[in-house]
Amino acid sequence: MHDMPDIGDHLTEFTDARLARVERLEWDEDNRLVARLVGCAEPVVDVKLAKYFPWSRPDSYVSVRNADGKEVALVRLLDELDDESRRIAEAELRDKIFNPRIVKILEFRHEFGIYSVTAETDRGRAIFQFRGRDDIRILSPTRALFRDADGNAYELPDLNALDAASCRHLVPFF
Amino acid sequence: MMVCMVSGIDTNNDPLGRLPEELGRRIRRDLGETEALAAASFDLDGHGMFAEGCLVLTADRLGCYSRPNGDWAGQWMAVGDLAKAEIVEGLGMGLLRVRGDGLAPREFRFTLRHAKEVARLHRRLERMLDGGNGADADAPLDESAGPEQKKLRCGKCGQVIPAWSEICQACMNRRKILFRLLDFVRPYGARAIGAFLLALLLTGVALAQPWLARPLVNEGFGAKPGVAASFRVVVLVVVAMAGLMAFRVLVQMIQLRLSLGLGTAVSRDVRNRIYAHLHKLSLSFFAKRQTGALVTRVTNDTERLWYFVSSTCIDMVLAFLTLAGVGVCLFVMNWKLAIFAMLPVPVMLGLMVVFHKRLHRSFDRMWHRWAQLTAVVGDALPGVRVIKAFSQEPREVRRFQDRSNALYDVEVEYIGGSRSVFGPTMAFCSGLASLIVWLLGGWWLSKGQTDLGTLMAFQMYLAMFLGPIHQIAHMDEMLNRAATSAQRIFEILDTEPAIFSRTGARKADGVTGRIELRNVSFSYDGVRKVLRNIDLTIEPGEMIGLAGPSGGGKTTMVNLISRFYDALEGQILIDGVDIREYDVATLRRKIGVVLQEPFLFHGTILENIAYGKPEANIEEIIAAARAANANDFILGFPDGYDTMVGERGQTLSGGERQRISIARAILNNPTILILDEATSSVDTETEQLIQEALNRLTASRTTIAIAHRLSTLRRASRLVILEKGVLIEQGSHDELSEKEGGLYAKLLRMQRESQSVMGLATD
Repeated sequence: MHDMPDIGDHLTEFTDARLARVERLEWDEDNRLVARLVGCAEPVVDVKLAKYFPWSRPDSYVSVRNADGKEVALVRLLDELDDESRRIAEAELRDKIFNPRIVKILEFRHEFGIYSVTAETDRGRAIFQFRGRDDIRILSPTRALFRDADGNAYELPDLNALDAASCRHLVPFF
Repeated sequence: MMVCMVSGIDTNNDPLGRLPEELGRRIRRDLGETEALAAASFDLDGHGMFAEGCLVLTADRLGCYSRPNGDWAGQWMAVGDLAKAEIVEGLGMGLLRVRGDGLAPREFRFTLRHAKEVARLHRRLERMLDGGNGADADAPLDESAGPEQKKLRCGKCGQVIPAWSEICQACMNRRKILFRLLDFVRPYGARAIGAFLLALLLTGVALAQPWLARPLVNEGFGAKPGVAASFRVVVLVVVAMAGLMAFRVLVQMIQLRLSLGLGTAVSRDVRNRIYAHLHKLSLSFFAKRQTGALVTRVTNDTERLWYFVSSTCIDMVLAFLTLAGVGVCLFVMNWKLAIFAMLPVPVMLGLMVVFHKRLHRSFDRMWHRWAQLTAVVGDALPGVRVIKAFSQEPREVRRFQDRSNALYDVEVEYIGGSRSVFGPTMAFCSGLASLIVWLLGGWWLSKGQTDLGTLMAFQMYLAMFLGPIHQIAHMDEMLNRAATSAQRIFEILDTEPAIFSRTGARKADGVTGRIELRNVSFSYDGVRKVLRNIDLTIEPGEMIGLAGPSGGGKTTMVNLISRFYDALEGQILIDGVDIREYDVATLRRKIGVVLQEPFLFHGTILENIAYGKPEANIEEIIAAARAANANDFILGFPDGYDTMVGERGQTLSGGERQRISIARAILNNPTILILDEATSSVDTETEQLIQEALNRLTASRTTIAIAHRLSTLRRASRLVILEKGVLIEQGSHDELSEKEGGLYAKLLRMQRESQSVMGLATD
């Protein structure tokens, strides 16, 4: 439990205090995610998780939505779940949200106006292509997202953590 | 700071100051001690021909001056005898008609040039006829200062100012402008002086080298009669030259560093200053100008200054120093030869000036035609659908080809007329100097009056001449360009904001939202009134619906309450205090705005919602988004609240933008809310969501809604109907819709009829 920060009176009715809290997350036999909510007898089956702030606050504010897409609970910090539920939540997020993180650049070509990259990521080896500055979103002086032609986002969490060769390829984009 | 009038000249606030001297003197003589309250020229007669005349208004008389027989003569009538004064607008002209009991109506016609002065005089006269005394306590302090206008005429000389400039080209004092630039250089004084001293040093070093040629040839190669060749001397001289060269490279590197660094620092300072100042200026400044032109000033013009300060200045200094140095060296070596060798120089300078003028003119025409060509392409390609629909492709291609050929023609003229002649001619002239040195020098050499070393040195010095001369010929153009850029920047820096907080202005933090408009009138251009004598009181928490035909003044009223403009006449009070007494920033923070076309900045959804309150915490922001029924669709995006919107970001639908805009307003928790309802339609479900969001936003806030939706109009506690700037009627929806012959009732009927024609359900 953490303290609720100050909110203006006109907004209190719209905080997620109305939403239920998650007691437990578990898988059912059909591999669907089930959420048990505090104060609710019935578990909610087949919930989907979504991040409110996937890039600026990836470990906070995870929305739990039912099969109709309606938000039934909000997890403010993954820490507030018990260990097992937290593990399940993280696995689910990693499974359903595909965001590879670039660890090393193996090959980097620029021809015909397209950048072709072969990179080692935390999800394995990836080959992707992007067109140029328009497809890059700079999140901070050392962090960027590369959106490839298929729409996948490849994250570079820290430019400085790369080895020198990989770094050299990507520095011009910052 | 002078306030420039748009028409005529005004060096102080004396109404007679604008009139021609002779007339002014005559009027002053006739008036004696009496003060002239207003004066306006009129310049058309009853047959539509140009004429000369002027009107003068005093506390109790109106005078009309004309000169039918060559001398100015005035006719006066008592204001007391007049009953009515009105301005009738024509096309390109207007007339002021005054009537009185028993008096035949008099008409004074004027062209647009004098429209403002006449309007001013007319306002005063009207007030006097209404029972005032010509002065108005509620009028703004300086009646003549309308919202910041783009000046049409120069305040000093009356010349028209070109569209692309803010300043008078005739009055542009180049020297003063460039000196003003020094203010920006001042913080870097050390760097500037250092760069200059190094330039001096560089010139010295450059001049030293040819000097060394003399001993090299005379003693080293034994060219002087009676002197044996000495390889030792050759070695010494070459080593000295090498040393000089190395030294020169070093000095140049430092000098370039200094001068380029100086230019970069100055242009950064200028950029920052001009941008910061732009944000101090009021809405009226931006309303009158294309933002593109302003962007150019911040970027292009500052870049030009960068180039000027870092390169051109030093180059010019170097050029002058080199020329002077070379001249001195030549004269010291052999003044007789020097005189003859320098003969082509004035010719070259003259030719350069002539050529540059011609080149410049051709270049100007080329640039213009190039712009026209680009315009054709820029016009046609976006409209390709229309072109195809009307099968006008051949015509468009022909249009382009015409422009392309026109460009070709002028390019050929540029090449043939100037460019191809210029370079070779210059080379010939400088070659001439060289020949003169060989010829004369050779002659004197054969007579034993000079030596080969001197001749070689001469030739080397002459080679140093061409570059500096070129630069000096360029100088005029460079200075002009830099001065123009500098002046454009200074113009903005010199513009005073029309809306500003007085010192010691009170903070608006505690306002409850009681708004009162007392006899408020407003005009954007100073001539045509967009709001007339509005009296309105809004209690805290009330929801007022502004309605009426388009152009009625609704948006203007809302702009005045937000203090984007100041009223021309009358007062606006918030919580009983004149709006001008409040600190502008805190006041505006108390006023929330939801526009018709919500403007979202390039940034994430999170940043856009938190725009007015960057210190807001996450809980607040999410709560505001929920209240605006925006949270659901935001979570639907893969990037959630981190989704980029605006330029090159996610394209949001109209309904989504509206709701983010509403969330932004809810987060700010304003006391007064201004809602400019979107007229574009969205699907019913989205409409309901937006409506619910708006209801939450407007609850318990003083709201002024420019309403289009019937549901909003019905919810309003009171409706205010404006037509042509006049408040026609007030009341609730029920009251007004029943009113016999009421405007609102009529508008409702018209809307219902048009909807029933389309078969839509009426609200």
